[in-house]
Amino acid sequence: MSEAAALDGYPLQCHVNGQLLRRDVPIERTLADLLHDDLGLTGTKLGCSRGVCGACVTLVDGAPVASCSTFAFQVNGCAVLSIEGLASGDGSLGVIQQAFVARSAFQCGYCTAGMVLLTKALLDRDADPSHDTIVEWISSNVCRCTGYVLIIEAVQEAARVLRAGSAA
Amino acid sequence: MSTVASALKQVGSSVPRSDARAKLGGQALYGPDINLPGMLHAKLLRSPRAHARVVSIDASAARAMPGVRAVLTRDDIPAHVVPFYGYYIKDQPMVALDTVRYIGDIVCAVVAESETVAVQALQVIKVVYAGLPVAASIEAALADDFPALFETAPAGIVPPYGAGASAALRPRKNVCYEFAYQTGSADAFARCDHVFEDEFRFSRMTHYHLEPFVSVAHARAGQIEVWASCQNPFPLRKEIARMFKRPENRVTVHVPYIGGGFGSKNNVKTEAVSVMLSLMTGQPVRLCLTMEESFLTNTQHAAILRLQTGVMADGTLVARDSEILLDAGAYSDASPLVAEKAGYRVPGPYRWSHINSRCACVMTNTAPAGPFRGFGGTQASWASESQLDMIARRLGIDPYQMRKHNLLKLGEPFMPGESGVDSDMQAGLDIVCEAIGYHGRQRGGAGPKKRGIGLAIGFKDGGGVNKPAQARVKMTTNGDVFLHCGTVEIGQGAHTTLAQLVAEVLGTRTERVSFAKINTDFTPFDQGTNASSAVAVMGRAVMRAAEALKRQILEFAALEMNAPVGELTLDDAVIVRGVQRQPLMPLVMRHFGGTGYEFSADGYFKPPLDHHAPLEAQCVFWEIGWGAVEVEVDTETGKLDILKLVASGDTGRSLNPLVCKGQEDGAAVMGLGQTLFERMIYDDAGRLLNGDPLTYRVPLAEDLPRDFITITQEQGHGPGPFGSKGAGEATILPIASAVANAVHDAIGVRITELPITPVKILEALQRAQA
Amino acid sequence: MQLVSSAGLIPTSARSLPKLKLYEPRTVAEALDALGRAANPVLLSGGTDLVARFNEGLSPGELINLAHVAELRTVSADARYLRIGAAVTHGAGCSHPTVREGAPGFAHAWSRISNPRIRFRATLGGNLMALRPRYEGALLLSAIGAELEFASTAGASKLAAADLWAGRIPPRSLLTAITIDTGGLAWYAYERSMRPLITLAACLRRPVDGGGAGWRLRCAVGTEYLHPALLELNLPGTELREIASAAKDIADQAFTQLPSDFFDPVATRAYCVAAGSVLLARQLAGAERV
Repeated sequence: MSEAAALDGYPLQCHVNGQLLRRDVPIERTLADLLHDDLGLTGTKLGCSRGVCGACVTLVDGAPVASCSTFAFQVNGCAVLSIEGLASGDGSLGVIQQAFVARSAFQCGYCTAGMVLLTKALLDRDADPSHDTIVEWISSNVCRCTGYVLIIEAVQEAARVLRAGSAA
Repeated sequence: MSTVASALKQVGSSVPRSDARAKLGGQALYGPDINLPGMLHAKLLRSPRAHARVVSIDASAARAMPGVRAVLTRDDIPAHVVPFYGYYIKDQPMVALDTVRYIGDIVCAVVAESETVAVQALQVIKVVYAGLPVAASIEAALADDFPALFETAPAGIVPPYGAGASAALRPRKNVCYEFAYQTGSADAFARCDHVFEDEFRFSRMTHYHLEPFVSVAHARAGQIEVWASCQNPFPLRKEIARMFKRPENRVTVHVPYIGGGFGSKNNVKTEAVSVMLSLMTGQPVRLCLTMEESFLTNTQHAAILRLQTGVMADGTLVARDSEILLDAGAYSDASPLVAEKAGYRVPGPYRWSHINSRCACVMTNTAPAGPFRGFGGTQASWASESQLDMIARRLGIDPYQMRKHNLLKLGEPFMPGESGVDSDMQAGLDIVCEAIGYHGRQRGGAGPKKRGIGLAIGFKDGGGVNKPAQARVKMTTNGDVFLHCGTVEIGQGAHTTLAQLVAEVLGTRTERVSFAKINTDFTPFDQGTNASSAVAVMGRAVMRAAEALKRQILEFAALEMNAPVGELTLDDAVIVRGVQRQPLMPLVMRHFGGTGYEFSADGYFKPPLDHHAPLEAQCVFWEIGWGAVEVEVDTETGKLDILKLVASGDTGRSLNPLVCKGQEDGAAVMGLGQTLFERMIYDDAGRLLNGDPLTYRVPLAEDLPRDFITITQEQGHGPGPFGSKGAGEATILPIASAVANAVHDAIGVRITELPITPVKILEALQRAQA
Repeated sequence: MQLVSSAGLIPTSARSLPKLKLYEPRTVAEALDALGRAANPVLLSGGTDLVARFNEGLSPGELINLAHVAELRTVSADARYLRIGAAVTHGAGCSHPTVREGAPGFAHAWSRISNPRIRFRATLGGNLMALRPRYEGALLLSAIGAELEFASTAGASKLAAADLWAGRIPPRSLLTAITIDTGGLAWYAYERSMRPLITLAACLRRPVDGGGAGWRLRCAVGTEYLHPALLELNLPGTELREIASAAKDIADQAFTQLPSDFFDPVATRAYCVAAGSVLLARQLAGAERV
């Protein structure tokens, strides 16, 4: 049996918003703090800091995870997408973001990055989600402002636009 | 329904919010994102005891820990600093002095090079407490044998009130403030056919804003700068200046985007500690609380409401005597102001001969209660709209008819000396009745599941009391526009709607109007972003500023073009004279030279003082929320299903319909959470049993009723620009009572205590059967 | 918030963790080795609950990351037992063909807990070992009579899921798998429409080892604040419709077993009996349709 060696730090290698990141991180560093504090990607918001509210959701290899509940070393070898990575190269907003603007599906904006990324994860798996499926997914995160109706509509609109785009 | 011209280009359309790009792109900066060079991190030690003397604090080990830069205990407050803050009553210390008054009370603070070190240092602080009796509820604090929580009177004031209204500081034991309002003669009770007395209980919510309470303070070179998640930066500036004995022009408050507040982010929360620690270290200090700490910082008011209501046999409301007890928690915070509003609003939107209302703030050993969306109106509407329904059913009158019979008419004053009601409330009631199918509804049902429909009309005064507003609008040589005013963007969309007003007046597009960052050095004074006042109060100052700017530009152009000013209009920085279109820029360059110019104009608005009005100024507008709910109650389990929820407000005129819809959706869902499950649960020892983000339940998307609609009325009678009123609080008001009324309609039993849980429903059914 | 001695509440969080060491074992044996050598270790699986424990004051010295221990993520079955690795996520587990075939009712119930985001990461083992009453794993597994397999340097041991709170979790051990006896499994239902006020899971089994006629009913009842209570009855008959037709009486009889201290800050015991027995009766009444 090989003896497991304890690491004091972690030689993290991953992609963040398409860019290769190589960095030694402390073991206790969370993904949220890596993004927000170390990389200056302040679009990732810390809300409840215990995985409930979903404000800090990022996509790790396409799966929505609360970055407050994820250690940085856990994304080694993964592709991380934060809200900053959703805009296209010229800085214009992506389809899901535009749908949120069009339906005014945000107020204070603190949950918005998490909601948008959650929507991307959903639409990447189900291009034409039912109302119930959207509700089930959006129930992963908390929005205290909107009452969710306009968020649900924004997801529906984004799905429509994306389907129309892929059909074209 | 609208009374305004259809030629509007910006107002009335759902233009994209001006904060959309920043918020959707992840670039919007909030309090927790502020990061200054050399910034230190503060953390707080909070009381584990609900009520105790602080015998001793030994922080020597913490002070000696590497990385710790300062420790703030009661012994570290300089003699010249006033440690207390508050609204009318200055009773809350920045850190505990001789007593801790609730679990979570701030005992001391550490500032260190990292949060980790700050937390480690807190762990080696030793505090000795000596227990004192605990009052975790209104009843406990008012019990005959319970001692006074504050032995000596904190500094406090009673503001001037108008006709019929009065208030007193510390009128009796453990009541810090009591508001009273009277009109008409109590003799009116004598002529009533019936007098009904009922008691209602209102549970307390936490605001559950996702962005935590946070501030960054930097004291240097005689100037204190604070970046605060704060919805009233000018009162905060005043309070900091007062506490730290600084001239107000040596205190600067910056407000970044705010991640939700719902009332909580008023006045000092984290700022006294962060400023003190920055003064002690000379470095920027960040104090960012956790959500668990938010639960312990500010809450809604739990309440007991007793209504004695006299009516005629035909359902005519005559007289009401009401006593409201608010659980103020450990410190007064905004409780006196909430008491004014709960006490004043409890008659609801009806005609009376006599009102005698008292509302007392009862101190307890629980977290301090403060402003919360609805601001006393939620408590008052819960009791008032429940009791009206109960009385109607007792008299055998349809609750709809009873409301219709007693509703104030459009323009009729709420109370003597008060402004006229600015919505046709009957029209609003008919809208929600129609949407839910109230008339001819099917009630009850054959199996264990019974259906019913309930109505309610929530009612509050809006726009604040005697609130001044100032705004400045500037236009650059290019025609780019700045709007400066103190309205904070807390999610409500005010920066967009106010920009729409400016754009409308100046004939430009909303996206060309930039809302200048809020900095108390430059921003025109404002009392705060509260009371749904942005459109109806600030909006009028913004309109006046924009109109003054337009006038200034046209007068300038008239001189330059040698044309009568009356023939000129402004269209997106182009001067239009008949068919001639003269861009503004060449005129500016010709007159002011190559470096250009910036036109600038101010606007001001304030409702007049009026001693005949009970609150010293007439209400700016009336914020009314109509609710209609269809429920299905499972009589075997008590399970309550909301089959359909209709909530409606009257914005007068929606400056941005989608923004208004978002406000009405959000407020209604918050009201639904309160109705069904949201509640801070305290035990008798003052322990909060669900003070964390998981066990404290807030509505999720899956909690929406299957059929949920909000209807935004635009009746056009508001005092704001283009007939507008405020929005954002209306639809939280009627939900709880509408649901209780629907439950009564379905199963014939009355729930008088929030939240309306299956346990209470089943118990009520069992009592009724016994 | 952490309560530290008598001095006060301290807002600990993942942001205030002290320096941690990391073990990344590849096998259960390596994980046990790390558990034995570390001074103050904590196991990291999905991580969705661990962060909450940091907020509550947990301050470990070492993390043992179970992500690379493949044997903890396997699902297998033989003729009698379904075996689910402790680190199988909710999302993967509830949709796993072997689980759906061996215990379809349980698989469906499993698919309904938590939310899509959490289901990507959270594991069945983590759900159990968090020891939080509101987490639903223990309720679902108690009703089906699952056993929890622990490994430790002292050897392997087993614990009934229903005894999770009884305090017999071996020290420095690792939950490796959850086994479900699928023998005689006839019916399983999960009632969560009133969550978190009251939830219940119920299971009916036929005797497997030549016991002849009759049924074994196990019903686990939970609330937001209480760990599950187990109600068990032996019932006569051979057809599910016999159960269905006597549903009300069976449910009433089962709920007489509800412990006398089964109440919480929101739900009284009387309520749990009244509502719980109705919910169970309704589920049983639908049993024949399965």
